Formats: sequence, structure tokens, C-alpha cells
Amino acid sequence: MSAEHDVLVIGSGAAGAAIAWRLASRGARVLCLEQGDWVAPDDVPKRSTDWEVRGRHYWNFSPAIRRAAVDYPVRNEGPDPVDCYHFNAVGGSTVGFGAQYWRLLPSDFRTRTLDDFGVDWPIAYDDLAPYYTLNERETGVSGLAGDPTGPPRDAPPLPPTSPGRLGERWMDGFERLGWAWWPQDNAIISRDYQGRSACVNRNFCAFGCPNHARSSADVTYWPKALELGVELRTNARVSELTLHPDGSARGALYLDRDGVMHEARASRVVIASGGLGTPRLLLMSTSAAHPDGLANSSGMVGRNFMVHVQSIVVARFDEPIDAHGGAIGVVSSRQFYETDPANDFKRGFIVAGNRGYSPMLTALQHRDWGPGHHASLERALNHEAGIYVCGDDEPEVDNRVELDRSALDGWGLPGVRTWYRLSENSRKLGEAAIRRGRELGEAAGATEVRDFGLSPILGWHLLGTARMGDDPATSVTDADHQCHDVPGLYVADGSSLPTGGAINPAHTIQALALRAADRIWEARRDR
Amino acid sequence: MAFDNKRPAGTEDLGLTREFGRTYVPLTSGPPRFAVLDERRSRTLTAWADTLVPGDEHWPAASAVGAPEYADATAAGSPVLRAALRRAVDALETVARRQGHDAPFAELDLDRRVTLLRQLETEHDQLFAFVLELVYEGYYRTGRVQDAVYERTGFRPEVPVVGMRLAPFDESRLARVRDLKPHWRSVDEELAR
Repeated sequence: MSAEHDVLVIGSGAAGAAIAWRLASRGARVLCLEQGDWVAPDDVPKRSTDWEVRGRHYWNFSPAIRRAAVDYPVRNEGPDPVDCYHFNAVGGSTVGFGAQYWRLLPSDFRTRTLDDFGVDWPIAYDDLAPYYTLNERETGVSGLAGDPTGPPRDAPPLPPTSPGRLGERWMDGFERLGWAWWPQDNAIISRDYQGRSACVNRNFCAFGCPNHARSSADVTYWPKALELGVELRTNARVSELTLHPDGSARGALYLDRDGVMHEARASRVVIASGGLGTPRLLLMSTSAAHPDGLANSSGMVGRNFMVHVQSIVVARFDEPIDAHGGAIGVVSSRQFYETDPANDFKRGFIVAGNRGYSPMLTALQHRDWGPGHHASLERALNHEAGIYVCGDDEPEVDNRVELDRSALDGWGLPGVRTWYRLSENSRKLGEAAIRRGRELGEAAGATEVRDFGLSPILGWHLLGTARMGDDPATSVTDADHQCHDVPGLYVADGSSLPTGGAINPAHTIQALALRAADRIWEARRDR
Repeated sequence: MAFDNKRPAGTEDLGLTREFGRTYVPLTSGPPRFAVLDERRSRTLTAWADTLVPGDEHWPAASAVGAPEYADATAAGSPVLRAALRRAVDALETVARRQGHDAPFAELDLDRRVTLLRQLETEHDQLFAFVLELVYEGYYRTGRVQDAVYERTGFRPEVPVVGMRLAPFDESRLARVRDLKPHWRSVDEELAR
């Protein structure tokens, strides 16, 4: 290998961090380019009592609102515009994630065959299971084996996080309904682990974890990767992928923090820039030979954009619920996960008992201003809790991510425009999920229940925009994550998922990334 | 976040929320003062804030904790928000005059102020929401209000910053579900059917 690095990884988030660590642990020389920077300790919102305000400004989950110097513009359109959320930072969007950590189920990999829904994956659950186990060990996951709604599995390395008073209510509700339920896996360490201190139940995990108990990629994989010699260049904004004369991957052009162009070269190039960033980079990499963007002979780059069918049901209890504390994910049910022929929709959803709300968010939700403001807040705060429902969203070619050349980032590179329509199946599935969420609230003892409906579309999970598959006509990469069109170019992140299942995807994204790293390393002598 | 900021579909977006990411006023900033608004407009905003969040025996009024000055300071960080804040205040005074009030908004009694703000909320929903959100931010971020939050609701504002103890998960709760039959589909078994 003549290049200075064996592997160039573009993006340091959930996937990029895992890939960099895994490859370095096997002996590869790895360079990672990250558009953002490390989150400064003082910028973690929950270090300060004004964390709610910070979360609406510089820590806003939406790049369209946050508009930090490291962000690129994101515009959301279509009949059902998605409110897209992501972060550009070391650790990627895990710096703002809720740490709810699930494995997919075997049927998720065969939805076309079993349910005439979406596409089958080119791999099966058993291919990914060892990497789920590896990822649980390396990141630090709390949970419990034995869930009857999933196949037998290795036990997570740490016991479940604490349910608290609210968790007891959810368990009572599940028991009254007779549903299958289980303590939820969380990427949160319930005990001291690998040099990090155990969770102290601060709640509101998406607003940062000051003591690093939440297993975001910047505190799990990155310290270990750097120790193994991975070179991480921050504020390195990749503008274009470069090719050898034979059409194989050579590297990437990137702009440093001063806007100066460089080229990084490596024997293998892995894009791990997320469901928006990965198609953006491929579509920006045009040339005479690739006028529609790189690795896009199928036309699938940016297509099949999936976000899960998500909503929140709010249950109000007469008694206080200790809304201030605990990990977000408490106990959850996959009672309705699998396709039921009795339904008027295909596939299914989870129903997850979560935590309570914070003061300002409660006030903003109710908007009862004026003489009744305080009475309204006193009635809702510490009495209202969220039930999260998340369902399978079928990939559809019209739902997409495109370049937006009318909106440029700080260095003149195009932003992205998303276009999304909620399908009839997804709408019916979402309405059913909300009904079940309301059932849980009532069974748990809530005296009032409301929900957020299905508008706007919550965009925490940005998936499917450079999917893997066996057929080069309908997918961007093969089962080993290598692009069908470009030898030596790989994609491994949320955009790789052919279907999304009905769960928070971070665990699957990292398991896929670890597997991709092994495939890359094992294929190194093929060229 | 989406669920605290719903706007009716089809209405013109003034783009005010999109400016929030580039403005942030730390708790440690200097003594409260107005920079964007002149004295007359600042009186209107102060009365507006106290109408949104009045004081009582348990809770301070918005102006008692500097919420109007916070709204002004936040708007100061963005040309778009500076213009919007002035426009919002002027729109409120315009509504007041149109309703036949000769006195400035700040000199009207509470009932009249509430009525005028409801009118403004209908006519200029985004300007109204913009001021409401900044007043709420300036209010709930303060220690004095967070003390009242705890006293009146039991919500402990210090927990997200310092944490709390919780009992571990009690596995005896799983007695029923642990013995349930498998509730997932094996691909091999499905295909064999």
C-alpha cells in the first residue's frame, strides 16, 4: 500500500468512530476527517442550570436552526416535511442522542420476503449479532438478556438503568395490559465501566452528559482509537471524493479551518457522514465520468430516505412522577413489532415508556400564558411523561435527499434539501402506534392523555440514502459496504440501512460499521 | 424542537426561529439593560412580559427576573431578531390604538392587556410566539424561578446538573414476562411454513 494511510474515514460519528477504532485495533493506519470539532466541556448544556435555553440555541438539534459555522444548510420540503436533527462534531449525532439502544430483529432483514414490504437486506441478523455484542461491550450498554420479544442473545455488560417512580408506573401499565415488555437497553453505563463513572440519573440525555456516563462515540470509541494511533483531523470539511485513473477510490479533497484545500489519500475510503451528509458528498463528487454524482449509476444515492414513523404520547398523572431524574429509556414493549395480518398496515412499532418533561418545555408545550400561566405549569410539570412510539417506515424512491445549490455553507459548498411524503402504510401504522401508546398511558394510571400526532415528522433517524444490496441497479453498495461502482470506496452509516426496523438505529449503525471495518480489512489484499 | 414549535401549515414563515441558533445570552452576562429597544418600547415589552407571566405570592413576575431584558439581549445578537422585536412591539401598540385605547399598552389594566395580546396572537402569530418564547426562556432560566418551580411542583431543577440516586431495577418485576412464549418471528420458521 503506497498511500500514507490504509483507510480514510470521512465522518467521526457513531459509525466513523467505530470503524476507525476497529481498523486501528487490527493494525490499519487510519485517518479520519471530521467537519466539526470536539464539544468543549463548558458547551455541554447540562453543565449549567440554563441548559434548556442552551438547547434551543447553539445546541439546537436542528441544523436548520442551529446554523453553526460547521453546519451545512438543511431545508426540508414535501407534503410532510421532516424536521431533521443531527450534529456535526466529534462523535457526530451521538453527542445529542438519547442513548436508546436496540438490536433489530431477524424479520427486519427479510421484510420483502416475509411481508412484501421494502427490500431484503443482503445480510441476515446472524451476520450482525456478533457485532451487536462487540458494540455493547465496547460502548458500555446497560440492559438484560431474556426478552421474549427477541432471539436469545449475549447479556449486555451492565445491569439495567434505574426505572425510578415513573418506570414503576409504566411496568404497572404493561402488566395490566398483559403486553410483553422488558427493561430497555441503553447506551448508558449503570455502573463504572472502562474508566467512566456510572450514570447519576440526570435525565434529558440529549442535552449532553457531563460525567460521560452516556456512551456517545466521543467518549467511547474515540479515546481508544486515538490511543491506537488513529489520526483525527477536525474542522476538515470534505468537498469531493477523488479517484485513481482506473476509477478506484484515491481519497478526498477537504477544506481546513482556514478554508485551504488539501487532498487526503488512502488505499480505502469510507464515507460515514450520516443519512444527509453521505449522499451530499457523493452527489457533490461529480465529474465527466460521473455527472450524477459518484457511485450513483443506480440513481439511488439520496433516494429511499427513511425517518421512522415516530410520535410521542403525553400521559398526565395526578401524583408527582419525579420528572427530573433517570435515563430517558426505561421500559419498552415490542408487543406490536411484527406484522399482524389483522392490521390494515404492514410491519409494526415499539411502545416505550420514557421520562417526564422539563419546566420551560412544559410551558412551551402548553402555551397557557397570562393569569393562568402558573396554575397550568403547576398542573403539568412533574405530572406529565412521554411515551415514545417508533414504527417501520417503508423505503420509497421519491423520498429523498438532494443538493441545494441555492443555500451554501461557509465555504461555498451546497446544502441539502430533503423531500418526504408519509406513506399510507406509515400513516396507518403511526395512528395505530399512537392508539397503543394512549392505551399504555391509561393503563399506567394517567388521568389525561394527549399526543403529538404525526406532524411535523420527527427526524432523529435519517436512514437509507445510500443503501446496501445485492443488486447494483437498486442499491449503492454491496453487502460488504463497498460501492458497486467504485472499487475501494465504502459507505457505512445510517444511509446504509435498506430498511429501518422500528427502533432507534444507533446500535445497528455501529454494529454495521464494525462489520464493515472487518470486511475492509479482510479485503485489503484483493487490490 | 418540533413539538414545542408548531406553526399552522401554509402560513408565511418569517424565519425567526431559524435565527435562534446564532444567539445565546449566558447567565453570566452583565446587569440587565435594554439595547435594542428605546425607553418607550422597552416599557411596552416589560408590560407585555408581565402580562404573559404575571407575578403572584408564589411566583415572580417576568420583569422581576429580567426576562424582558433577556429577550432584548437575545434579539441583539441577530439583525433579523432586532427588527422583529421592534416590529412586534410596534404591532402591539398599533393593535391597541386600533382598539380605541389612547394610552400606551403599558398603562392599560391587566384585562385590557390580555385582550390586546389575544388579538395580536391572532393577527401576528409568529411575532407573538417569538416574544413569548424569549420571555419564557428569560424566566425559567433564572435561579429565583427555579426555586419556585421546586417549591410549587416538586420538580428539582438541580437534578439535570448534579444528578440523583435511584434504586436499581428489581428483576422480580419480570416474573410474568420472563416466562412468556417467544414473541418474535424466526425467518427460517416463517419460510418453512
